[in-house]
Amino acid sequence: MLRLFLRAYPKRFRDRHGEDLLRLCHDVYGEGFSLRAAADLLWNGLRERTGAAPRDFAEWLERPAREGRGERFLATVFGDIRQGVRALLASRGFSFAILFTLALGIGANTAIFSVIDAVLLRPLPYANGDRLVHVLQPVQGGAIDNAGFSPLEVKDYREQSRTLDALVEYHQMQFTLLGGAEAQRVSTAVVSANFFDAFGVRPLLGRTFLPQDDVQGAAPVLVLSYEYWQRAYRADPSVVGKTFTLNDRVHEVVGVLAPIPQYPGVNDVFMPTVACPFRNGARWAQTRNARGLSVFGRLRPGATLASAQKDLAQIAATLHAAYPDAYPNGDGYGITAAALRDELTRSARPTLIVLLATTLFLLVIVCANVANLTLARLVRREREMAVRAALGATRLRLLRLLLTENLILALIGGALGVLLAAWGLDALAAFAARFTTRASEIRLDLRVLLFASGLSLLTGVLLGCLPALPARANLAAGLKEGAGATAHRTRLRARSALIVAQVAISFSLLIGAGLMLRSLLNLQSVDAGFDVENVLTARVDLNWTRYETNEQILPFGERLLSRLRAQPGVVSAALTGSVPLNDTSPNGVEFRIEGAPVTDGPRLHANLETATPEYFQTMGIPLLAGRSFTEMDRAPGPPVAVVNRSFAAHFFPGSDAVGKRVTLDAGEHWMQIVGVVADVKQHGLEREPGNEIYAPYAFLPFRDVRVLLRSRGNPKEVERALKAAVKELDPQQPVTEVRTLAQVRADNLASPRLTALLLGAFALLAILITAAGIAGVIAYSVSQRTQEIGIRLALGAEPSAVLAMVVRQGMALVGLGLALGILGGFAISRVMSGLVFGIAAQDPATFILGAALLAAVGALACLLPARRAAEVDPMIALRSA
Amino acid sequence: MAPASMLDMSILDPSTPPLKPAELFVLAALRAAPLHGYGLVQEVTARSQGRIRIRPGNLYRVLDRLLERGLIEVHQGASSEDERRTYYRITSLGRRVAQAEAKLLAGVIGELLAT
Repeated sequence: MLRLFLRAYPKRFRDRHGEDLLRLCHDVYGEGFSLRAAADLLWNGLRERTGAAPRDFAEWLERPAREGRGERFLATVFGDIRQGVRALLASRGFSFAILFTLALGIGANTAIFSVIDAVLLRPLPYANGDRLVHVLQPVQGGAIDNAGFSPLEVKDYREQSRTLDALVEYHQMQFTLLGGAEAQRVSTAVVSANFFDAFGVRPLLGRTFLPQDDVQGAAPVLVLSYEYWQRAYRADPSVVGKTFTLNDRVHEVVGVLAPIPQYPGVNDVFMPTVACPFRNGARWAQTRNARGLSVFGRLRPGATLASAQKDLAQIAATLHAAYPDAYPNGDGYGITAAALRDELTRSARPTLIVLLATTLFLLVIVCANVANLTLARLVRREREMAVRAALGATRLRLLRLLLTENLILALIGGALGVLLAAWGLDALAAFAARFTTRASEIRLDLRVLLFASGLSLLTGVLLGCLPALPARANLAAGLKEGAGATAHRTRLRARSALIVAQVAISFSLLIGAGLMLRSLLNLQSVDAGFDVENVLTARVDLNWTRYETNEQILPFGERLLSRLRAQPGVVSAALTGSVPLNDTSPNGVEFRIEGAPVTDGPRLHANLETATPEYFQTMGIPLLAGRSFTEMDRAPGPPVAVVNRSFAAHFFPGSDAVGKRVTLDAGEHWMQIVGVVADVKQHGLEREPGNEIYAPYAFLPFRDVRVLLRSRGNPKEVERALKAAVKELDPQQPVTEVRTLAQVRADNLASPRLTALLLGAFALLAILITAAGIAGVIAYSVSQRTQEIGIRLALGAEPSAVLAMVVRQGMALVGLGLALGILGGFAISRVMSGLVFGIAAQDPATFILGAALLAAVGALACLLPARRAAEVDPMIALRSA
Repeated sequence: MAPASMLDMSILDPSTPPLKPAELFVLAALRAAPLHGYGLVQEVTARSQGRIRIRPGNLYRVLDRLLERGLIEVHQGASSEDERRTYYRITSLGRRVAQAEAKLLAGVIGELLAT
């Protein structure tokens, strides 16, 4: 049995050492067959054969293929490979063209597959991933998809649920980390003690939380996220047990999490719920309306998402009946649960599926092109094949030779493709990270490599078999001069069909890219309602331990503004609660209009924003009526408000909003509307502006504010002044998220821009490859028809007529491809309807422009060989006949 | 044996690759007495304190290279122990090349040991 594996060695070596080697194998590995001995022989035999060292390569290539009786199998395989490499080296241009296109096709697919695999296919890296659900409390009949939960509600659902065996809460807050060179802002997830157990997340170091960590009076503890541990502590394992001062308390690090995608938010550290004074304060503990917690549950074994939803709905019904004040009928409170796996990837799915479809289409084009090139090359090798056949090679042997050549190309192309994918993967992962935290799991692993090699093998086999189909004609015919016209015609027909397919698919891809591009242009031309030029924004989130009351917050904000206004280069400065184009959901607060009857119907909702007097001026938001805020709008004066145009139009249609009064606290305080400003896209370029109420910062000083600075020159130049001003007022106060408004707007467009860019690049590749294919086929057909063209010209045909004839022939293929491509385009546009903005998915302009572009490229591709046809010298053409 | 300083280093042909560890160990093992394949495997394992285990499939590639370069040869007067096995012995060229290579290495090793 081992003797078979001995055949891995060259004959010369076997003759010399074969018997000794077998005996030694028995001595070392024992008598009889051993897998280790077999592997040893196979491995070292191949090393001996290939000569390992590259300088032997040329010599190895030169060795004649042996077909001796003794070593048929391995020798012929090696012989085939050798011959294949030799043949491919002989036509380097052809090999390079094929390798290049294959690498592009396989590389693009490998890269996109690695993203899809990590984000959509692999199970969540939490031990209980498939049983985790996100519990949501939608209001306004779903207009707001989650109002969050209050601690009292969490307690009720936890105690009453029969389908969830764990129910955990989460909210995010900011702490200030002291003790370093500069005070740091630390994003903190505040979670139930059993949060990690419910998710099935284990710590990398130390431990997670214990029930006794989450009781009032327990020693403050925290767990670091893997990313924060890497970034801030350089993966120092001794960090466990160290203490940190966060705000006013010393916390001990008890553990570090393993690298897992964070959900629902990305945080630096985790703390148990007792760490949050607000959640445990009197207001949150007593009222059900203090909602702000996210809730996750783990399905009991045997429970399904549907049964959990039913269970939760029953509990909700009981609660709604028991506490009618907390769930007013008009607000339309609901309850629902969604699988965490879907939640994590929901926004990534449509884009990724479009990208996968695109790259698969691209691969089909690549394969069609390679098949086309192979067919063309086969024509040139017809005589070689015929000679081989005449010398006794069987059909099978010839097929195997072609198969080997194509497999070599496909495997090398695949390897290049994997390199290409590895090269582009970081950029692609950064792109995917805009949609899902699972992007951190993207890597080129064994699964991806298996996918790539499977893809390569498949293409290799398909391409190897394909040329055999039209080659059924008698091979010996190839030996005769000018024979085999039928075979040529069959082949031309096959190649034409490939071209039609390529054009059709390219057209579909072009439609996809075109739709995305038009959508991006629409988004870019959206008027966001403010002036992005020369405005710097930064976040100043005050330490809530030291800035507890409005009396502490307000002076900080006002002193900061007065310092900033005095800086050279600053035109105006303002504070507000959030920068426009953020991802929050609109209409967060409930209000009433003075004089309007209180009904049981839906309550009125608007978005509440705080603004200092220069806010509208700094943002460049035009004032439409009334006045803006002034320094006089402060206690003990009367509360005032500015509303946006949508608000005025919605609630005071046909009348003047200025002078009307609204209340946010059920009539305790009434705010008089003093001005109306233009609409601003607060919640994203693609979303309609909501109803906006602006209140003066002096009445509504947010602890977490955004500073806005309009500068005379480059806004980045006032950044240093801003940081210095904050540091002077409070050396322990970090300044974060420093960006210009222009960057904010660009970031908002980054994902559609990247999607358009990727689709556009793939479409461009497809068109280039297709154009090359068209030119190749037409050139081939022209070369086959040289005599005919010569006769036509000799009989007096105008060269221009010949040119037109050839172009017409090519354009017929293009036209047929376009007609078929419209169907593909419709299919793609259906999938993309959720991704486009401001145009119908079946946008006729995109279809027409796409068709025109492809037709133009097709015509150009025909023109080159057509001109050669028109320049045929009739004498030479006829003489060569 | 000649003192190291008197060794002729010119015997190391720059066009041939330097001896690999496995080749050096085989030459070292053959210095004392001719050995057959299995004896070599055991001897090399013992000398390298188990660090180098030449797999059978590779041993004969090593031997083949050494034979080719004339550093070892097949030992004809087979001992009575086992007539079917091929014994190998080191040639005088093999001794000199091994010593020259060893001297080259000794310089480096001396430096490594000194630090």
